[in-house]
Amino acid sequence: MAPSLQKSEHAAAVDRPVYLQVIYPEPQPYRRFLPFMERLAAARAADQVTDTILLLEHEPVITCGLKTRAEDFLLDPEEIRNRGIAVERTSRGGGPTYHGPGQLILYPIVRLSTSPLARDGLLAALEEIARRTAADFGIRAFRRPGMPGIWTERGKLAAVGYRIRRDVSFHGLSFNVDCDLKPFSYINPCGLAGEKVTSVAAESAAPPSLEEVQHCMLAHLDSMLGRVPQSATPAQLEEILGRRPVNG
Amino acid sequence: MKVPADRLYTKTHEWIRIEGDKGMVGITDFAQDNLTDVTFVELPEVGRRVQARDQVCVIESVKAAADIYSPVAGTISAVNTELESHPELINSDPYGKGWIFELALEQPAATEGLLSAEEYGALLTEK
Repeated sequence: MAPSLQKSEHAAAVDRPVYLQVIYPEPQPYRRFLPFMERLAAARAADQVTDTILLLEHEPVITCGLKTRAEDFLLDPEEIRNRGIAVERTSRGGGPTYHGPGQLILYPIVRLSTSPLARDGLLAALEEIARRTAADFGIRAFRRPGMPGIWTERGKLAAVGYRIRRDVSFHGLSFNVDCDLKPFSYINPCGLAGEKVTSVAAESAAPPSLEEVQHCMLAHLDSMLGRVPQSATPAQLEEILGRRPVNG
Repeated sequence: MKVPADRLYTKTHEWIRIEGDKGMVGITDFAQDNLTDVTFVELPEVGRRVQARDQVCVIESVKAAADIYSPVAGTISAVNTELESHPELINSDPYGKGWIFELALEQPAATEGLLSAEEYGALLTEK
């Protein structure tokens, strides 16, 4: 039995390609989520699932991208763990970063050759989604030459890092809405020493909720994708993957 | 997006230029554009025998990483050591000085499933 998926009302009866949109209501533990995302990417590569966008928060974690060096840790990883923050290796490119509650994560598990997100490069597309979302809340955010991510005068607001396997992207964008910024001081975020980080809450007098930010981010994503979102619950996505065995 | 006509392509964005029993392999303009500034290329081992679609190496950029696959079966006969000190050649000249490895092809080279420049170009425009 295929899980029944609800098409968003505004998108009904429009003959455009769809993508699957999955929103996680609870912060996700990184260690369990990573293998799931890798399984989803393999399923996408095998055309067992369509392009899928995951929106979530993570439980507190510092993830180490492939480019992470020991000197990017300003606090001993063991001490970081003692403070209730997991430290995990991961398969994306880039240096270390922090994820935690109050930070909005967008993971595009999409086939690059056919995704409008990759037309001018996935990095630029994810940065643009973050820039437009920040602008919705009156925050002037911008790119910096040679410094990927989205920045304000106060520091880095959004970070990007991803992996490409068999024409499919995974990992993605993290956008600081109202998260603890202190854990970023335990590392050189993305390998950049001395650079500050910021959040929507730190930039605004009346910070919006995570849901409001998520809503705006999805609107920008949809306009860049030109595709119709089809909502699925995390359990429905599990079911889609479960009923179709994934190769390799 | 540049797609030279003198070679064949994979759906995972590698190219192979076959001359005699050798095939030169690299990644496409589209692939380097989605990786952004390449910082490190993990070169494969010379002498390694690979099948078509086998993962051969990983390319890292400032913010991304991509797995590279062999377009056809063969034995890796040379690698572009210039990339060790100049990984950015992948970005500036993906179809030339940014080549990654050379394959000694198994005879006859099985190129079924590979795309012509026209077919690869069409794959990228069907959005």
